[in-house]
Amino acid sequence: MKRIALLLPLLLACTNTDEDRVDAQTAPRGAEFRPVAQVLVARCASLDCHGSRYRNMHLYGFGSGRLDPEGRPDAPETTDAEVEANYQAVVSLEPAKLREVIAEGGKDPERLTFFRKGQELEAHKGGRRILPGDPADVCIRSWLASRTDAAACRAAVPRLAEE
Amino acid sequence: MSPRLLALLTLAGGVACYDPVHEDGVANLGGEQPGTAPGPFHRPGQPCLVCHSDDGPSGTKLAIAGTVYGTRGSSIPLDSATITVTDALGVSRGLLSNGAGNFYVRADEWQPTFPLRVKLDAEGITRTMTTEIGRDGSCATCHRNPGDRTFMPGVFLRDK
Repeated sequence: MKRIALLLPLLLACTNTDEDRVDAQTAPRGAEFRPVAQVLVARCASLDCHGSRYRNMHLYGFGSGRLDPEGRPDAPETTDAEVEANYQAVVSLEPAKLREVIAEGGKDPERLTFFRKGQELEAHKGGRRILPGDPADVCIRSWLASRTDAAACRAAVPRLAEE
Repeated sequence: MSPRLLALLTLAGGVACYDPVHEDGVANLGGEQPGTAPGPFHRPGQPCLVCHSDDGPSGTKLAIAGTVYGTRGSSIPLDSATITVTDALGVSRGLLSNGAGNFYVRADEWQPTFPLRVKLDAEGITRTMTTEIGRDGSCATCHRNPGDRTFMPGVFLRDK
C-alpha cells in the first residue's frame, strides 16, 4: 500500500491532460485556426490529395472528404469538428519544431515540412500550392505568429472571398 | 552467363516491375461490360488512368479522362458536353463527351500542369467545378456515383 502511495504521484505525472499536449501550448486553435483550416482545405485537400484517406496530413472539410459519415464533399461548410481534426493533422506532424516556430513568433516557418511542401521548397507531388506573398502564405505565416490574419485567409479562398 | 544467374536476374527483374497496389487497382475494376469493346465508349464512370497511364496495362496513355452525367447521382450519360480544363499555366483544352459520357485527352497531346480547374458546358448550362483538381487526371478518383462523404457523385451538369 505504501509503495502504491509512493507511485501515485508518478502515475499522475504521466497522465495526459489536454493542457499537457504539445499542440495546446503552441499554435492557436479553434476560432483562430478556422480561417487557416479553410485555406489548407481549399489549397491542399482536394479529394485526390490531402482530402484522401490514403494520404498523410489527412484534412477534412468543404470540397474535401468529410468527418461526418452523413456529410458530403459539397455540404455542409467545414464543421468545428473538422477544424479541430485538421488542427491535429497539422500540429502533430512536427510538434517540437512547431513549438519552436511559435515560440519565436513565427520566425523561419521554412523549418516546418508542411510549409516547405506547400511552397514546393522540397519535393511535393502536388506541386507549389502556395506562393510566397500570396494571401494563403500571409494567412499561414500570421497563424504561426499567433495573430491569424482572417482577411488574408478569406482572400485566399475564392468562394469565401466572394461572400 | 550461367543458367542460375540468368534465373536470378529474371526473378529480380520480375519482382522489380511488379506493383501489387497497381495490379490490385486494375483487378478491382473488373471485366469489360458485355457488348462493349475496349475503346472510347468502354468502362464509363471508372478511373481511366488506372489502366491508361505509364503503369498500363493499356497502351493508350491518357492525361485527363472521365465521364459526365446529366444529373447528380444519375447513370444516364451526357452526350456532346464540352469539358474545359484549364491548367496552372493558364492553358485550356476543350474536351467533348461521347455517347457514353466519356471524354479524354491523350498524354501525347497534352501534359497539363496541376492544379487544374474545370467547367462543363451543355444544354445552355455552364457549371464550374468548385474545387481544383490537385494531382489526378482520372475524374473518377474523386467522382463516383452515388457519392458519399469521401466521393463526389459522378461529374454532373444539373443537381436534379
